[in-house]
Amino acid sequence: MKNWEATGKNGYLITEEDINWDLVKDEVVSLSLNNNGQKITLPNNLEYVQGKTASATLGGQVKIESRFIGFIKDGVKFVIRVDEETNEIRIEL
Amino acid sequence: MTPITYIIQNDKKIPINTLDAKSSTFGMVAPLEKSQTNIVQLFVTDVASITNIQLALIDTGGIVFSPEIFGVDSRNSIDTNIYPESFFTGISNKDLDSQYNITVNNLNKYSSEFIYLNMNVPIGQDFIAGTIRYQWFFDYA
Repeated sequence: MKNWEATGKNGYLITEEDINWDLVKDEVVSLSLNNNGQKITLPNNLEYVQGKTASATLGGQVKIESRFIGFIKDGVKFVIRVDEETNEIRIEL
Repeated sequence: MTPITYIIQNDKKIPINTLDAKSSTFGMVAPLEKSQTNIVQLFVTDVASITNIQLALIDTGGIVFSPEIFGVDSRNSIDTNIYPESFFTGISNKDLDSQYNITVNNLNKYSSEFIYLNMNVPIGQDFIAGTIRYQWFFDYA
């Protein structure tokens, strides 16, 4: 199972199951990505990004290709991306 | 998250999903003819936003690829009189990182700009309507 998990300023848990990221991203103080039991955790108190990359043929099949967590620091976006099928982990700047 | 591809017909947005596949392609085009221009747009529901939108040509329908066959352009408005002035430079390997994908701007948080697609059938090649396929790539949160 793959999903992201965050902690808000008051210590409450935020998951992708019930939260619109745009509404909470400014409250997040820590962010992790669970990858089939393996947990990747970013440093605390940063400006975070997270998301998935999907593909879709026009009018056809939809597929999640990968998912990512990351942060922006000094204008640079640092992203850790996990391939949905192969579990390959890639670091992107 | 549900991506919907709209095709613009008579100034109306119609989901391609609900159409017969052939109606979303280029109809009958003879060798050396330029096809009609199809205008399509990606719209994604149940997301906070989409970013990093790309469009790829993944199946030419048996036409041997060469430059200046598969036209593509993106604009922030609809104009049925416009023909694409750019072309796909290759067939994507269905990979986000393919050099042949084209980058598409957002129109808003949930939609791409309008993509103009057409084709110029080369001489001596058969064209079978309904077999050309394109693929979207996009990030969402």
